[in-house]
Amino acid sequence: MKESIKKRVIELLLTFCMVTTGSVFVCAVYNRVFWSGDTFLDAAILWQLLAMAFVCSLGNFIHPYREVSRRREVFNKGLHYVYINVVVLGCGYGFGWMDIENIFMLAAMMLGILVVFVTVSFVIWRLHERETENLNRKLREYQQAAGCASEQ
Amino acid sequence: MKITIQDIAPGEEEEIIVRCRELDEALLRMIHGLKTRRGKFTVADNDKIRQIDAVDIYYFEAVDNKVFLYLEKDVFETRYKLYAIEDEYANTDFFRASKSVIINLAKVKQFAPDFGGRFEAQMRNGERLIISRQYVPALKKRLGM
Repeated sequence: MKESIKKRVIELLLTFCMVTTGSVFVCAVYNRVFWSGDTFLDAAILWQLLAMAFVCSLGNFIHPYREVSRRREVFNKGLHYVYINVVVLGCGYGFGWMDIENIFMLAAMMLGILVVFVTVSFVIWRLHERETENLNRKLREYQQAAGCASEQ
Repeated sequence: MKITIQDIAPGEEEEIIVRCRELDEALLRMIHGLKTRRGKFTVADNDKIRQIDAVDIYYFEAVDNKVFLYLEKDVFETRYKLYAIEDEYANTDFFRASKSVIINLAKVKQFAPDFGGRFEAQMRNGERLIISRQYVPALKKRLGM
């Protein structure tokens, strides 16, 4: 498989796993706050969460593999966040998770989206930092082997 | 490994002959290293023509169909095309970091994480260059990851 496609598939799966985990947490808190009491959750919500997480993960494709400017990258990140809001709020409305007239439910849902988005972005950034540390270690080895570490 | 050095007559072209059973990675690296160390780029320095040693180059950058080579402090325009430099110096310390930049890995101080899966190469002269995510797999391969 081509390296770029392989990388994108791995990123998609990783994002899907993280979004699913985050969604389950948010769902648990949300139900505790707004649907507490004797509410019995339909098992269909599990499939709904998985479907929503998958559609959210597809938002990764907003970021093209080709080269873009830093400004464009920031714009894409904003667009990605808007996309996730549309998907989650759309699912919330479509699957009946929230009462659209209840402003608190809407606000809590948006807060949940923000928390999951920031958490996932943070985890991805930490993984990227770890990758950078490995690259730097390999760079030092490469430069030592080539005898250029003492150049400067 | 036996190393033989022969004197040559003035004016005679210098030559290196590698006699081996197999070109392993270490030998290839040595050959590519020699190529970089002996490589020179001709540039115009005001009204003079100047030869720049490849090892002194930090990076090449293409801007508006012109290619510039960057030393620690100086910048010169060169007539070489980026793709030609990439081909000529394949498997040496020169590495294509983005559509418009080729960096000298020997002059990279360290890498730093950047937005969108990219990396930033912090050069030994303090300059910062972006490594596009599409070139990251090649960089990892080059560094043996």
